[in-house]
Amino acid sequence: MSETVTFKLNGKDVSVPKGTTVMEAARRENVAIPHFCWHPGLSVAGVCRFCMVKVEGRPKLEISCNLQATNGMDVKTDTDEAKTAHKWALEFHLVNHPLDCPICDQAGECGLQDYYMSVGKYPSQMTRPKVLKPKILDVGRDLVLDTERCILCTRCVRFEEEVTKTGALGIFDRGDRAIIGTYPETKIDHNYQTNLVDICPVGAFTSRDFRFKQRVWFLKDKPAICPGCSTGCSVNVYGKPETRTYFRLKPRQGEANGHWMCDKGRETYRHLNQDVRLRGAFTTDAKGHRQDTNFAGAIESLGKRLAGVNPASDVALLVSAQHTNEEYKSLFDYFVGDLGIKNVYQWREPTEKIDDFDGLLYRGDHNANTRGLQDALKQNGIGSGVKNEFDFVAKSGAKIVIAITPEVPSTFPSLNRQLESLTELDFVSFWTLAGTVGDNKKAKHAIPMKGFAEKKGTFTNHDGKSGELAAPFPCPVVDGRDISEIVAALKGWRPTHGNK
Amino acid sequence: MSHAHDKTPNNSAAESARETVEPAPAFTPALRKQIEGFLTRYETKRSAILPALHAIQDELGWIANEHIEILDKEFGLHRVQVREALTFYSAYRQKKPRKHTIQFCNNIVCCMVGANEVIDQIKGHIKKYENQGVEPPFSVEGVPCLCVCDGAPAMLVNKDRHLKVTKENIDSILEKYASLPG
Ligand code: SF4
Ligand code: SF4
Ligand code: FES
Ligand code: FES
Repeated sequence: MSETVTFKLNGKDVSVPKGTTVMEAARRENVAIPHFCWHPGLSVAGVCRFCMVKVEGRPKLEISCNLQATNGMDVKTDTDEAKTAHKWALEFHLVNHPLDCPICDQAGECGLQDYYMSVGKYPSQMTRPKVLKPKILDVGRDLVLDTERCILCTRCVRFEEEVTKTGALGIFDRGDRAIIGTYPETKIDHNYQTNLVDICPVGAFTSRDFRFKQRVWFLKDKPAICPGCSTGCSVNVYGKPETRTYFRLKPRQGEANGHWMCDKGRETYRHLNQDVRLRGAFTTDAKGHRQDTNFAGAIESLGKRLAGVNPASDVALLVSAQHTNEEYKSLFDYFVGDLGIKNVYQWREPTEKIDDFDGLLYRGDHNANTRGLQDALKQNGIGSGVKNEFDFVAKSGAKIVIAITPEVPSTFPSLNRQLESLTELDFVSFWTLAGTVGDNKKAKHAIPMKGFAEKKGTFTNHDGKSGELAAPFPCPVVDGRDISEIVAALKGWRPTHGNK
Repeated sequence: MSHAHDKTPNNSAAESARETVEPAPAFTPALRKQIEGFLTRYETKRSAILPALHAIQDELGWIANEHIEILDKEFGLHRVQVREALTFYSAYRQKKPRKHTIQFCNNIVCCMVGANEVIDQIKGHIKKYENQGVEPPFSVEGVPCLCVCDGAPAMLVNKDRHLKVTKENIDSILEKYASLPG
């Protein structure tokens, strides 16, 4: 295939495609070379001068991020000379740095801190007063900028030029007065701004949403797929299992998204937190009073009702496209396969423009698994006429409707209105995360569900590619279940006494 | 730009935005034509930024924020990139200059023969005007070697070169300029 070159990296022979830089090759080989300005998703700038390596036979150290590996090259990253260069490059980056780690949100995931521990560890010799610059600048919806902490790596400048193509950021002035910023009186305004917080190696850009909520070392992160749209970006979910709280999403490198994710997607941790969630199951007694119950109680009351009707004609399913392929399989195997239900409808948002695409990542289809649901419907011989299926539920004449609500309320502006009109029907069992179902006085039956960060399974994105939810957090809601678990419980349910 | 802080020095960008109180002189047709020429001269449009800024300063005396906006909107030069170049080089003027601009050499040779004392004397004159509440007719700045070391101490007033400028003859030179129109 493409031409390869072989060179020595710290004494070991390494083969890489021609054109690969020493920095990239080292990354593949898990050899750490300190770097600030280089980022795998951006062009090479070579401005931080941190990534120095020794090439045998050449008089001076060279930056590895802009050095293409060639045949026979003998590169060393760990000679004394290279190590000294790394140490002093770091010291120079810190000449005017405020060192305000105790009040900096980046602490714990800061390049300056990490590199001080790995390549620094010197007593500082900088004694002169520092150059002061503006702090706490509001430069965008989610962006707080501290220009003193900036090390002028230009990652953010290149992101705005190369990824969002807005060119919104620049470095103004010169020397130790050089300052990162937007054009005077303007703010960054696009759906990808929190990526700047991620790529900024220091605490210059911090996220307004996350700031001061939690020290990062108290958080656990687990890989998942963003449920915000049909692109299915790979993400890490950050939460604190001890307090059952979620704090943020960050992109994880993936096929669908490269290195980035959008700001709308970042919000999709909020609905997982207890304050907005349905906290427990409930049913309604013979007099019409709401009864809180546990999971078993909810299954009991639904099981009884199902047993009392002819499911094929009397039951309708209303399903959103925000659940996993595995859940759809168990759902349809039971309701369509075993019970012969014909009335299956897809829950859609009437305002959505399903074919929209912003050219970067964000899609108008705000469901993670539209493809998966459609495939499952097809397999079960159910047509997937898409538009306004919601309205047909009412006309189906079903005595029991099982309404599996969309998981992410922010993607469904008309969710509450739809919930409202559903409660007008005879009997609806809501399977949901939404706290608003519990607030609705007319809702008769509900089972709390697990969110995307709390279950295993796969989503199929717009492109037919599968993304995996593999490492669930414990569900903050005790009785939260995924569809498969609810279906399994219904299947296993038998009337406890008397006839059915 | 909203500042939550006012103790620290301001973002230089925002600061000079505020300083631009003078109405900016308009682009002349000749200037426009010149800039259009720069746009096609180089491999990338961005390369036209430096010569365009020079042309504006030569023609209009200084570069105002309004001029950056024109370069952005009418000539397709990104305003962030224009601002980056403008603020990097101290030779670009971001404020309306005074009637006369004095650039006094303060490199080694001129300093050895008393440049700094002459500069101080000029500053003293400027102070006098300011104390009377009058806009001084000239500004002074130190610049590197003017390449006429044999005539040290040397200075430029606008584009005129003056050699062997001393504490003794500076007053009469300044007097002459003060009485000239800008
Ligand atoms: S703000 Fe951050 S990303 Fe931007 S140049 Fe400064 S250190 Fe680099
Ligand atoms: S583009 Fe879609 S999948 Fe990606 S982060 Fe945004 S909402 Fe989530
Ligand atoms: S990472 Fe190579 S110069 Fe910055
Ligand atoms: S040192 Fe002043 S002209 Fe050269």
